[in-house]
Amino acid sequence: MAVRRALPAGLAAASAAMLAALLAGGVPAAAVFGLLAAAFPVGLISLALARDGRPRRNALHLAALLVLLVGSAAAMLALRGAGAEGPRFAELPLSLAVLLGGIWLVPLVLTGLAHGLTFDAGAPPTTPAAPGPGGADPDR
Amino acid sequence: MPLLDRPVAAVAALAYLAVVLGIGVWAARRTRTSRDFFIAGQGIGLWVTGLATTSAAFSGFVFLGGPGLTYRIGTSSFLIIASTGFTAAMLCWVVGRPLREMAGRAEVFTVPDAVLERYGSRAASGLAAVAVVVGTIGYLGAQLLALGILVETVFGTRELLGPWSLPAAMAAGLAVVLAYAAAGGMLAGVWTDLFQGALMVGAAVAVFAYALEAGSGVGGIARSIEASPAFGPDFLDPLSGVPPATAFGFFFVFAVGTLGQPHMLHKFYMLDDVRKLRWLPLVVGGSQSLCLLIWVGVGLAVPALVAAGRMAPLANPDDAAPAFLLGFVPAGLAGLVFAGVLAAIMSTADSFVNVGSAALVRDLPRALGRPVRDELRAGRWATVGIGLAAVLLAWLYGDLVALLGTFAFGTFAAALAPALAVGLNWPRVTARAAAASIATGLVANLGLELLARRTALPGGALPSAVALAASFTVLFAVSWLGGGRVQSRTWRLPCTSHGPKRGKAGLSQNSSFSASSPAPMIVDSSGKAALP
Repeated sequence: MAVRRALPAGLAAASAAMLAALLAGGVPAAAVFGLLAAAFPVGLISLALARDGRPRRNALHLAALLVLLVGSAAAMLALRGAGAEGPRFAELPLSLAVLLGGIWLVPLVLTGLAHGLTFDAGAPPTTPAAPGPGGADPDR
Repeated sequence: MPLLDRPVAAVAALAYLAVVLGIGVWAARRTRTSRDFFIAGQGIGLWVTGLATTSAAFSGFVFLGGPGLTYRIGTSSFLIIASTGFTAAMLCWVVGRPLREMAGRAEVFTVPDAVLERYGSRAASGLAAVAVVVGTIGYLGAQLLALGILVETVFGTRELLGPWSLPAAMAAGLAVVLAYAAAGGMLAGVWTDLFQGALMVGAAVAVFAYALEAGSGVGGIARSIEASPAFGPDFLDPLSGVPPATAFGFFFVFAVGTLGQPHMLHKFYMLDDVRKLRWLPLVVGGSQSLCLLIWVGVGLAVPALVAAGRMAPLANPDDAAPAFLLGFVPAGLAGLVFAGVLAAIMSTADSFVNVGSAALVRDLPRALGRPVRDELRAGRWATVGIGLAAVLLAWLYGDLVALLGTFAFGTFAAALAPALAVGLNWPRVTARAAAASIATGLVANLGLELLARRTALPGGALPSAVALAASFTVLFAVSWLGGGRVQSRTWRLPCTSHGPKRGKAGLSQNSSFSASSPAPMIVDSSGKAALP
């Protein structure tokens, strides 16, 4: 339950921080925005899994995804402007290789397998629905 | 040299068009009800759904706009597509399963339907419908712009018609799209998507191989670009081609914003069994990644060829893919690839005219309390109106395909993603918060887009990214602080292996409807009417 309560608060704080960083401008603010943007999808997935009452089932996969995405964003920031003399991987500048591998290819395998292997068709999730006839929303 | 001067290529492209039209005619004969028209009778399986999702998501934006954007801003553009690595699984986890479960027990055909079902608010549902219409016109405009460029290339009309070439080409393309979209609806779309998706994957892989060969491999391409004064090392640095805020904005909008794309979410309503979601991320993510090879391959090969003096610099970056195909790919394959690109554009355009028409003839009237009697007939007329509006927008926009596509994608993202991604998973989100979030995303995205065309935002921030962050912030803030009824109960949804389903598609018998029946009732978990 603690995770379920903390996740919306974390996502709300991240949203506000990203908005502030975007409005502030400048490279440091952009770096903050980039790191938060990389973590945000993992927060949304965690919220969805918490809804199903199984936030820990994919904890390892999600932790790995978080490390991959945030780590890749941080690495790209660190390698920014390295130029042709900078480090390379597979004949590409390392920053580009990090983007293609760390954000695209490895997460593709990781999340695809994690979703398939932990999928539980029998777990009835609880999805919020509109209030019943007894309680109309103010703006209905 | 236009494609028509190469008979082999022209025959391949025409053969493709004949197959697509044939599928459209076949599907039209099977379309009898609104359910068939909008969600393909809810009888679509894993591979069809996966390839149709890929086909609907990838479009002229990817195949023409992508290489064009890379030519202009370098590998920063790859931050748009890199999130493909996890977005398919994220879609299934965050919205796919709740939406499919919802569609299994209530009359949910569209995103505004889902918003209405979740929040019970006509205001939120109506705003979502407006966002869908606005985004649809933008996204369809991007497809038609790409289609126009393609038709110009195939028929060589630029020399003949001058400034009228592009609008004429777009109008011709729109006529073909409407011919089978208006006739066959989503059923035509889904089955043509399957054919088109398979063709797109094959075409993208083949072009990628030719791009690597033309550029002398990955190393050769990198060295040519880095040595060129026109491009230089920054071209290959993902955070140097544009300001970092823009680059990360691409990532944020195209990763998180995927959760609000109606043309992709629509496919979840069609899945005939929730258990098929299990491997959907691998099918969708894998096929999308293969398709994206054309963006990466052509996007890197063309600058390398220009740098090496083997291709003339491009006056219009959107010509990158057509120029490469005509100059460096064998004629037969070029024809098939042009057909594949045409497939991508048409499948996405087809999905959008259906999604947009559903918003216009179902969701908006219902939000206003005036449901349309004959939705099937009205839906077909709506597709024509939306198509014409999109042509006009694309003609007046006057910029790259990818930038128009980014605006449209951002509209859906900022307006719809927060209310769906958070609202389907967190009961505390109120109807008032959802409506405020949708309105914020819609207005901020439109307003900032107009502002950014006059003056750059701070630090090069992407308008859609600001709008998306603002929309999330408003959703959380209003949920906590804005009052309104907090969700007091949860709705335990049955899976296919649990509990009864009502009717073939999980609907109550009185809620399945045809073009001639009155609007269906929305029912809650106990079967009582939740909304009149």
